[in-house]
Amino acid sequence: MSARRLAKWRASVGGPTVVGAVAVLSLPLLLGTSPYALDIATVALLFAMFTSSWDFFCGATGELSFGHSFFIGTAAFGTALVVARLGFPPGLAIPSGALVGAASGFLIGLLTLRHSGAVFTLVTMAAQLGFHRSLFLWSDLFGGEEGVLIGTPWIQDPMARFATVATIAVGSLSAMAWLRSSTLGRQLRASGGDVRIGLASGVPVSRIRTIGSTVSGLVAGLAGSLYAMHQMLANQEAAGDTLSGMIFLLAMVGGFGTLLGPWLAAVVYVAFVREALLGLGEVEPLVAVGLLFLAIWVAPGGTVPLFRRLPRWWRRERQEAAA
Amino acid sequence: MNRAGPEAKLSARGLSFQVGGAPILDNFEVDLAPGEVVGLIGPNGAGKTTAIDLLSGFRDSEAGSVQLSGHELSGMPPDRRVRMGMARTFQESPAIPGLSVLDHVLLAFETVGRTRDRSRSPKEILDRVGLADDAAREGGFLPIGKRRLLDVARAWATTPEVLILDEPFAGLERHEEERLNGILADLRRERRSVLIVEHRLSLLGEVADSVLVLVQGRLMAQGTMENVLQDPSVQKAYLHAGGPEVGA
Repeated sequence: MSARRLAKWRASVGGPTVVGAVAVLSLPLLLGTSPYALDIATVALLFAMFTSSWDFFCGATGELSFGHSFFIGTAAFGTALVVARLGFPPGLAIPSGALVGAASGFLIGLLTLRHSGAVFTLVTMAAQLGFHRSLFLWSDLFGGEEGVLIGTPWIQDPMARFATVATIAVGSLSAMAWLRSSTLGRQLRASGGDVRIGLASGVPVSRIRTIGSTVSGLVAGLAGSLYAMHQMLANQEAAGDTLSGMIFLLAMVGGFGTLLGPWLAAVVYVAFVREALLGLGEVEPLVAVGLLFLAIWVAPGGTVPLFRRLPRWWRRERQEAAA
Repeated sequence: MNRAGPEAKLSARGLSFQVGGAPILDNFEVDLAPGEVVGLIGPNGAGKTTAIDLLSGFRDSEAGSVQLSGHELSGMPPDRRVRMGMARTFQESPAIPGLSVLDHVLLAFETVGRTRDRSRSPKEILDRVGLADDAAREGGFLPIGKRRLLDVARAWATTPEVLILDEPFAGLERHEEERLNGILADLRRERRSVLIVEHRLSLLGEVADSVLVLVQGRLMAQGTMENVLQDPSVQKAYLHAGGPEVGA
């Protein structure tokens, strides 16, 4: 690898990978290694995959999806169904669920070929609400309120489960960061908002948007599939509008388009903030949303971009103080 | 009006466009020979941008044809026309949020340019347009003059046979105008054909082999800059619209 390529890799992929790995390693240190703590840490990393997969497409194109749990829910139910009904082993069920998520992403890409902005947002909402409704319409298949039970844990040891999910969560973050810095990443950025520059650069905008949505669905689907295996259950929460809204808010808190920001925001929120608020009972969701809005108010561009600006601000302050 | 003859790189015939029954462009035609630089002038609202939108596929013509090196482009979307060898810039020189100057050129080079010609790298193109020192800056944060040059660099990076420039001199400083003149000379040397929409006629007169005059959607005159500006009908049309900016 040449020095130039190495520097480019460090900036685009190496940085997020190292920060992600440090975050993963710090979770057991901060939360402890009890089965409960490892369960929380595992779910936090799955949420990190939910939000970063949202940001892979929406952060690049500037689109706003309020229905990301469509990818997660279809994958979670797909996984649970192939395990419960067809007896698939985890090694086959998880990739199957990820493929279901990718297919959902492909479908959204096709449905929004000619749409962006508000229409894109409405299509994603409609897909999520439609799927959520169908869970109850076909309760024989999807189990209604109870959902579809998987029954046995996919990995018995909580630490091994956490380590496996951590590897996949950091690996998917690295892979998406690498794609972001590739030709596809540039083409995806040119396929949102004012697409004239993209078209005038030869970018087949519709095809690139569909590929981007499929990749987003694949990662969200992989996370949804792991979520179902981890919970040993796929229920309507995995396809609900609350989850979609939470993903959107966490992406905002972390910083649209940064990948690492939404990833870290989800880890911090699920592992620490949500846990700290559990004692509040029924008002917990309200307080949680209030805190997220406060974070967005303090850092409108996201917390990660804010932290990136801090060293520059600190240097300037010191220079002014010295002068 | 086929001055370029059978070797024309770009040949458009009978392009028309209406909005609500009102003709915006009527029976537009243009021929560009290899290495030829042609200007397209006319008062505001004459239909110049509509003409290049129809040529580049950003609008669909209601009639007529566009051929590039003998291949019919009519009905083709803009991105396919770029892959066929037709590139363009935009009047506002928009930039993609979050992409650096180098990323803009890489986007065009990696998507189309390198499949057509690998002899020139994106960094060489940036160097040629004078943006090498700005490579890491976000494209949207450049001042307008540099953004225009970036738009030209991006279009050039697709290695086009035909390049359509929409008001490339607007807002440029003197040294940037000289830079753009040098780029146009390079394009001419590389036998690439260029169509330039421009209001600054003195600058256009320095680089264009000939000009087309468009008034109220119709081609009114064609020839060298000197000749068309002496045409009484052109003078009248321009006077009606406030006069050509010859000295600008």
